Amino acid sequence: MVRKDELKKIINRVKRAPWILGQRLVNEPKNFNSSVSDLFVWINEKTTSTIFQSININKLFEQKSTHGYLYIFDMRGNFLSRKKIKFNNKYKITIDLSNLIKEDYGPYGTFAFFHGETPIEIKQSSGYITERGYVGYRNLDDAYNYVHGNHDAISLSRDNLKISCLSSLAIVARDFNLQYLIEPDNQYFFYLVNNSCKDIDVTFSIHDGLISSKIISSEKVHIHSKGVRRFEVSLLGAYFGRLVITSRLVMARPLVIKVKNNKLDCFHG
Amino acid sequence: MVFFPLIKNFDGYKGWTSIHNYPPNNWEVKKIITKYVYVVWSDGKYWKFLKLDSIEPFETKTFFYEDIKNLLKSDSIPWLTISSSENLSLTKELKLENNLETSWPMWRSTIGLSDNISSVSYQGEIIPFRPNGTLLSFIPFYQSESSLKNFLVLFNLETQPKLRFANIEFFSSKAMTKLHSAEIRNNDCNIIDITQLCNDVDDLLFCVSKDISGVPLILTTSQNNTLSSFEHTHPPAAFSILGNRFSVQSKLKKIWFEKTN
Repeated sequence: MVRKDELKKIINRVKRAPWILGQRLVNEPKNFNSSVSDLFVWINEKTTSTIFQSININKLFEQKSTHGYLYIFDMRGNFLSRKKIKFNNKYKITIDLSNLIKEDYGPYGTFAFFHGETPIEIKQSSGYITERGYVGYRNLDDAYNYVHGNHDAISLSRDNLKISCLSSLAIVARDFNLQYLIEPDNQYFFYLVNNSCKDIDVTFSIHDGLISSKIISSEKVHIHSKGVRRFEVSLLGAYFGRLVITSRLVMARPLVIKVKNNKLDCFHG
Repeated sequence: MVFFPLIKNFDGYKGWTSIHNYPPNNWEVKKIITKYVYVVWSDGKYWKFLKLDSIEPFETKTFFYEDIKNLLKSDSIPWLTISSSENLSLTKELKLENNLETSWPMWRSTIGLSDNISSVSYQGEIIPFRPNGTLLSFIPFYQSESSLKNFLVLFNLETQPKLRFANIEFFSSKAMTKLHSAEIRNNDCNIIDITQLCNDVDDLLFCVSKDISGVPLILTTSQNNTLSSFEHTHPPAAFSILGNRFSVQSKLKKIWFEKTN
């Protein structure tokens, strides 16, 4: 006889299955000699610039590492450039993206940083080195506002230089409810990266912050693999809102930039 | 249980936390129900709970540090939590299991600091640590310009209510020299001024504690008193994915704890 509490657990597992089975947040790269990175967002506009801080992970393990590779993509996920970045035996490097982004690259896009070697300790753990570094955004000459990497989104095989997105797509579209109150009279920019290997449709909806069912505005967009789309919101008057992102992304956490009095507040959802 | 930190007021900035009564996904929760917001604090022997307010489905409520602190009438640091239970009372140990309806992603609050001009925030929660933790944290986004101030904000919440002190030390990776040390308290929001510790942009500042764990955040403000940046560092396990990340973290801690001995 199956006990009542065990039966409840089994029913729960069956109910969760369509949302979980075969829908891994991070799939294993096909080649063990791979390096993993988040797909970070670069912004290059009149007033906003982007900087990136990466730690020389191999040096932390007292192992030699000479370089890494920076890959830059446009908002449609098209490859734009690859640059070898030398560590020069330093513990950390700073990359000024705004110096590497050309005018015709567009206002924003994605980038990844792949380490050239993997420490023995990570290999022995059957894992992959991953870059989840810190991106700084700033308005004019203000101080940088930093956001950490959030996903293990993309891999580079060191053997054949093949790039692969690592996130699965869900079987059915799901909502990601950003647990954040959008206040009136501020500007908000939500950037969503597609770290799956297929192009997807995404709906950004702003719901009334007080009445759950009332949608104030929504926009349906197409995001290419490795690409990113921006959704802008400014609520006027007495409206408060919350963001719902509907897509087949397993985890649709956006980068959020709030602008108030020309000051940025940047964070991950 | 899942807890939400509140940052202490300091340097003219006000700490606040916004609690949201809606889940991060739409597939783990059938029906959103009214919940209750509690303030939680340690008196040294017990964890005490005081019901602050109810929170309706899809509602967000913001709580300011100074208002909550005034309610406690003690030196203790307030933490927030939400529960569908109407009667949470004192306990000898905080439970580790998740009391909210979603597990993936975690249920988060918005934790921030503000003044009249600027605000900074992050989306976060805290699960209590066991008291035998340690800390190793690298800080590559320390901003060394002379016009800026940097602070380490370290949240520590342990399962046990017993209050204790520990030491945290800051080092330069490049020179392997100790730059600063400070006493910190468990079950507390510790704020340490680390301005001008590291002026070399190529150096990597790091901190260690062999007695305590926690969530380290770096707060940067400008000398004209506006808030600029507020973000947590990654634990060393985040340098690796898909393998045994915690064995990697242990090995890295062993290397760097030996270096700092």
